[in-house]
Amino acid sequence: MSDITVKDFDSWVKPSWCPGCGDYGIFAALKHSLAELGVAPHEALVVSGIGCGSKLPDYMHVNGLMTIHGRPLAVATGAKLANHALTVLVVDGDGDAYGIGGNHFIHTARRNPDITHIVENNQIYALTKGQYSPTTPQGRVTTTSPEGVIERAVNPVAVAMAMGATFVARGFAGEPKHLAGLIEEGIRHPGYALIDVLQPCVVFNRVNTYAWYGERVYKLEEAGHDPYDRAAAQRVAAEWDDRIPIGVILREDGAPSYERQVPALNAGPLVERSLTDVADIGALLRRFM
Amino acid sequence: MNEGNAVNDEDLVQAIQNRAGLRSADEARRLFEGVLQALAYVLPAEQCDAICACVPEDAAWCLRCGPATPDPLIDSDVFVGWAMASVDATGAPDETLGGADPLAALAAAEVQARVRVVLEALWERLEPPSRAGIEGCLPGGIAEMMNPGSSATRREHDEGDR
Repeated sequence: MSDITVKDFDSWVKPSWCPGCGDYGIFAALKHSLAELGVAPHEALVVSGIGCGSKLPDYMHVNGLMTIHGRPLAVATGAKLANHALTVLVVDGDGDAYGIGGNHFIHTARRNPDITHIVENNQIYALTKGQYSPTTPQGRVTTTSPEGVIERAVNPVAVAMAMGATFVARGFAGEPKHLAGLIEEGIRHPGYALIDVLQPCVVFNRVNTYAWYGERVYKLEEAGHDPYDRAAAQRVAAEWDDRIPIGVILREDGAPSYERQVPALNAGPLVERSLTDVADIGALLRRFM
Repeated sequence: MNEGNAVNDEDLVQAIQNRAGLRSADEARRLFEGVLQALAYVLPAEQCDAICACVPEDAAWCLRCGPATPDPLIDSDVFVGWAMASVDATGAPDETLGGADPLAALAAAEVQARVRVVLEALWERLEPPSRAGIEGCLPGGIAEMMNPGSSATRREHDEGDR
């Protein structure tokens, strides 16, 4: 039994999220998951982008890095390549992950680094006061779509599966205990794990509220879904509106993670090697200087 | 409904509207239902039944919408989210469906005050034997809102225990 507790992850910085923000539930679930797994604060790295939820590393006693908008997956991949022992998590919003960071999202999914990616999906750019995001439903009126969103919304779990992701799940910030279980499974999974989280924004999304989700979500594990069945996972991924599935949608065991396949790291992660093992620094300097 | 504590729906809604400073009876009703739904997610069935006995029958469905077992990770912040799901906090709506409340980030005190109004109204109507059981199951911070006179029976969260 680990002696790591949730309180070990408490920071002296108090969250500045709006009262009732879905980020609080995600935050509680994440801390609970790390404590349950016995991951100490110095053994974990939380990388975020820009947005309300991306302020999370400030509020947590853990290695943390807030990157530029849309780039946390790239930075997290680099960290994992350098130190395989780190439990690397990315926490960002739907705008950061699926919009500005959309390119990194699809390529990280197919690359399969051992990273757990928690996306706070509130279907809006909230920090900048309510612009529509890639997951805002078509037709929704927002501050930047006064006549309704024209584009179709991104279905992130379907995209991740199409790109070859080996673990795809969806949680709900209003049920943090269930979400914590998903995050634990994602961390245990030795590859890229997407956990798309239905996150009510109490200010700029007055449609998809706690109550709205509460009436619609159902748990896949209670419905007998087999996450190893890719065809069934595709069907589940397409469900929305009246019934919204939460739980592990797809998983594939045995696929090697990216960092285990990089030839330059055959001798071990960079953090365990001396600079002279990695390269002849003198030769490099002579070549480029 | 509890005979000794019979609640008139309109009276209750009006009391909540007045005490919470809400603009309409509809907002007061939505706030009341939101708080009941939040309670459904943190209280076991026995405690929900006790509250059902002292609220209008047409509001009892709110206490039946929660999970089979309460979620121990719902803290006071998440509770407020469930409670305030359909009520604006403060500030003027900007006429679009998306942006409703540009001052909400500064509205924590106001939101808590409104939730407190409903919790206190429920507390007054609860049978005394039920009170301690309910208070003991509530997240820290919410228990104190419901019964400002006592914080001794606050529920120990998973977070606090670990």
